[in-house]
Amino acid sequence: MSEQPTAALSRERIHLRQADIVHFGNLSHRSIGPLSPTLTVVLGKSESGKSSVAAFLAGVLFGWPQNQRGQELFQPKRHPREGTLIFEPYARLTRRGENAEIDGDVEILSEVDKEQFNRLMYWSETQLSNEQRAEDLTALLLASGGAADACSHALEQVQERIREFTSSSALSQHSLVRLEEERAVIRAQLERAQEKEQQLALASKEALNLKKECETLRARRDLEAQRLRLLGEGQETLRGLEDQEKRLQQEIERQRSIAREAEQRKEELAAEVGPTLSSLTTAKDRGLRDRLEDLSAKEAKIARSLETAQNNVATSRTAYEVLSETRKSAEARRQERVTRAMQVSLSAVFPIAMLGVGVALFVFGRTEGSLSFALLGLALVVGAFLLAVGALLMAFGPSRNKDNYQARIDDALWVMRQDEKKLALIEEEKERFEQALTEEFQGCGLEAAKGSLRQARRVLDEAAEIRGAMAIEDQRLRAAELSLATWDAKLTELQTKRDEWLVRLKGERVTPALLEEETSAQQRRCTELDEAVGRLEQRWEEAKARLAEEPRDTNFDHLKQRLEIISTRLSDSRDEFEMLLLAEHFLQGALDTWRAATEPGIYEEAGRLLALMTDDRWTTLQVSETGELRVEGVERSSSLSGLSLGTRQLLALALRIAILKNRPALCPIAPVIVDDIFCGFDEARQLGLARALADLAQSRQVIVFTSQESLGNLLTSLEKTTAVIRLDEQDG
Amino acid sequence: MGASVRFLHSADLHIGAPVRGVSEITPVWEKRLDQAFVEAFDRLVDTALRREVDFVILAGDCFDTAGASFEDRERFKEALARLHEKDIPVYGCAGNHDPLSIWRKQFAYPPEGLVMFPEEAPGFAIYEKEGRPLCALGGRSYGHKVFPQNHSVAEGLTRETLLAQVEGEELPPFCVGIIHSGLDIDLAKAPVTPAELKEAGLDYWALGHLHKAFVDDEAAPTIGFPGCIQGRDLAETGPKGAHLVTLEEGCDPKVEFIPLASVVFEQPTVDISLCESLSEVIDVALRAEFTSNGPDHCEYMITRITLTGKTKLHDLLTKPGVLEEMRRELNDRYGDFFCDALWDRTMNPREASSELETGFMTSVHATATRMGAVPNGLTDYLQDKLLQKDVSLGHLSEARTRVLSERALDYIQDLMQEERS
Repeated sequence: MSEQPTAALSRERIHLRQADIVHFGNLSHRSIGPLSPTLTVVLGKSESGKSSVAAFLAGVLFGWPQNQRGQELFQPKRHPREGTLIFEPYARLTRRGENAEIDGDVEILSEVDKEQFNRLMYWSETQLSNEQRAEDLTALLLASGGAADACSHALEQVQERIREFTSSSALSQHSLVRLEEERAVIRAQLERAQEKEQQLALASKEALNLKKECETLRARRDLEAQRLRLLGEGQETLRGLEDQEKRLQQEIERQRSIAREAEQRKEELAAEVGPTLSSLTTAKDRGLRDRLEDLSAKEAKIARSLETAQNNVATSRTAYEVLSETRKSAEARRQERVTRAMQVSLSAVFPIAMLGVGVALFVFGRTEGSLSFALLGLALVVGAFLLAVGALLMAFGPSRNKDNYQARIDDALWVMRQDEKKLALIEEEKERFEQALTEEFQGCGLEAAKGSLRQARRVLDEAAEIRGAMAIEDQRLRAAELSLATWDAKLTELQTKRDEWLVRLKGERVTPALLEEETSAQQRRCTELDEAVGRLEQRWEEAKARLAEEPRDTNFDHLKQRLEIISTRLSDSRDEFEMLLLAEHFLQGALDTWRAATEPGIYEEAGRLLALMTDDRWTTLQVSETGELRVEGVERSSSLSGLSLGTRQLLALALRIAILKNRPALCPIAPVIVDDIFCGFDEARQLGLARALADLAQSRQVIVFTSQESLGNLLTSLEKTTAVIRLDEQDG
Repeated sequence: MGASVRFLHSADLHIGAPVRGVSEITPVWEKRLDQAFVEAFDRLVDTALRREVDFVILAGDCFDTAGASFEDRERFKEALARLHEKDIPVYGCAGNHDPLSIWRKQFAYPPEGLVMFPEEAPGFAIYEKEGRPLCALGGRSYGHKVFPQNHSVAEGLTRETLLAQVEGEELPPFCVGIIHSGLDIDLAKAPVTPAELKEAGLDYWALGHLHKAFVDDEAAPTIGFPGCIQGRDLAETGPKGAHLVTLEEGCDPKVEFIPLASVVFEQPTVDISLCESLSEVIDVALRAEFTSNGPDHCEYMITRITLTGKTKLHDLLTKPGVLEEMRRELNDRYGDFFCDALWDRTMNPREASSELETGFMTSVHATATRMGAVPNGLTDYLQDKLLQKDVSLGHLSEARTRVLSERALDYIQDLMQEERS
């Protein structure tokens, strides 16, 4: 490099001469200069403030630096940031305060662009490590501003919109940063609300569990109380059962006494009438009485027969005696003749009359030809003949009166004899009857009647009365026996009941004393359970009170929905953001292709510089028809992704230098700031990079910040006009 | 007539869930959404009481992972108590959103009136009617949010194992299984194959997890998902509700869908290429809302409307604030519908006018095609960019990238045309 062009350059162009820092970061009241119009090396150890000075230079030109979230950087603790840049030919720019107000020769800033400066002229290690892809390199080309056509403007618009999404400005509705922050705030609120809800849930659960425990314990207490009541009731019942048992036994004794008494009385009564009559049944009594009636009837009949026989004997004897003494009288004989005459006359007259009529009728009938008259006449003739025969027999037969009289005497005698015999028979029958009666009475216990039917009836009546009395006694006896059976059953029942109670109360037969002990123990258990229930109820009440005190309005649901709304907006914004990134990607790819055809000089220069920096290992840059950037080397060609990290970084620097060399009008007053980028390269590449910088310094002011003394020496050896400024010396 | 049993099969109540996908909401609609899930469950209980069903099935995810508020849980318990009062038992299993570990933490477990099946092994229950066993039920719950991968959720649930639980001699004529599974549709959630379920010999499998109603066979369904009773994401469009299942001896199972949702969601796409003015666009959008609401059986609806078609209104629609103003106007027109977002995907009808524009757009499309041809190339690019810009990665996928690529190309086209004009 010759000095001539450098001198010419220094005369022609405005460049930064000095930087006066009033307050910036940890630096205050420091002057950096004079700076070379070509190359300046600022040497300083780590933490000496190299990056602060580099940031200060950019800050005065384009505003105080901020990070991506808008936080101010290099802010002194007590003072606002302030400082001045002095240019040659003379011009001054002073920036101060938190509003980054600038004064001085601000018109010189009309030719600078912050974006171009940041992209192309401010080289830092961080920037290099981020720019490794083709689109980043394309962005470098675009930042050069050479092609102000619609396509690049579209890309700028896309990038502007992308910045909206990554901006932290409150004005940007779609800002992912702001939405993320908003979401974080809501998420934090939601977590607090969730915590409250959790407390509410726990309080509710505790209250419900206590309620359940309370109900369980109450149920147990009620069971125990019921058992206690049962024990008390059981004891009471047992005492009552004992009393009842005593009363029952007394009653049983009384009934037994009544039974004995009735038995004795029965025996006495039976003795009064004898065993036959005392045990006489009603049917037999009725039969006996019927028998007595029959015997009475028979006795009366015999008596009547006897009386009749006696009367008949007397009558027949009288009649015989009268007939024997009486004779036949004249009147009786006359009477007998008259009767005979009447008989003869009648037996003649009537047959003749009948014969005459009969003949007349027969003739009349024959005459007249009437068969009926003829037959009637014949019948009358026959009748008259028969009647005449009868009358003749009566008139000439023997006398009956005389025979009757004798017969009457004989009959009277015979009757008298018959009546006497009959009387004797009846008297004999009477005797037999009386004998039989006496024997029958003896057979049926009626000896006391002494053969008298009347007495027998009386005896029977008396026996019936005694049997009635006996029946009453018998009833008393039976009633007593029945009562005894009933009371015995009741007694057994009582004893069974008592046993059941004992088993029910204790599960086994126990003594009342043991039962008493059990009742006391149960009483204690109930008291303890009452106390436990009381304590649990108190805890439950406390839990309910706590639950009531827990705030219900936790805003939980509202916050959940707000979080979803923010998440949706974030998602929508992300969609848009990613769409814009793709649009940028497509545009950049297309522009690469586009520019490769329209601006081949930049790639040629970049290729030359890359060859310089890589010791001719990579020599050429080419863009394919599809827009893909490829690097040609001695041995092979490669896409960007096939290069090493270091080579990609050198390529990015080569592109920057090529653009800056080809665009002299781009930010003419701003120096190229190289902030400690050499560390990552080996010595050969450092040398190559130093050569490239020295080459750039021929057309641009370059300020290199480094901690490497050797690099300072190298650059000084490559460019004689290099100014070296040591920050450490300035400190001293 | 043979024996029969009738029950309501529901799942995925997601009580406590915020509605996803909403980007803008008014206080009135926020209240509606807040109450939507518990109100849908109340409607389910009303239906059970009105239709006098024998029992109700809740096949998992009764509560959402987001967590239900105290008030919501109390309303859930009250609704269960209403069924309990009428002697309608409720059988349920826990799902991946509300595993038993959550139930035990949130409730005095189990709530009265709910029979929950266990997580370690299959659980069983016998439904008796008029003193006779009518239906044997078996099910299994999620113990934690992930069901063990090496176990089948339906393991041990067969007709034999269900009937083996019956104590008396009389066997119930019906057997029903209850599980929360992705079947062979979502393999991440306790998957089982339909063949495995059918081999078990049950009369009906009441499943939960899928948010859209589904049966394996419309004519003779034996495996059913009722879907959720209330959509929890604006992408979950269409009617939501439960299945009324009738099993009858000698007949195929009958499944009737009962709509229960409080608010439904729709995402209609509206072609506005024939519209001459923005007012006309609003009319067309409103008509599209009514058309999409028709089959939903629900009066309240939230929509996200996409405007498409080549229209001269395109430039107007891309101006800041225009879409937002139209959305407000649309919402003012009919209060029972709420348009959450109005998206412009229309195209400018103008053709490229210069050689430069045409050539550059050809180059853009060629570049996009080349980049898109590399497997995961664009997705990887987005991933690197997001990491570089310190933005969370979110959900990146090839399919999504393809959609975004299309939109990006349309957008570039718009920019180029805008630049020209």
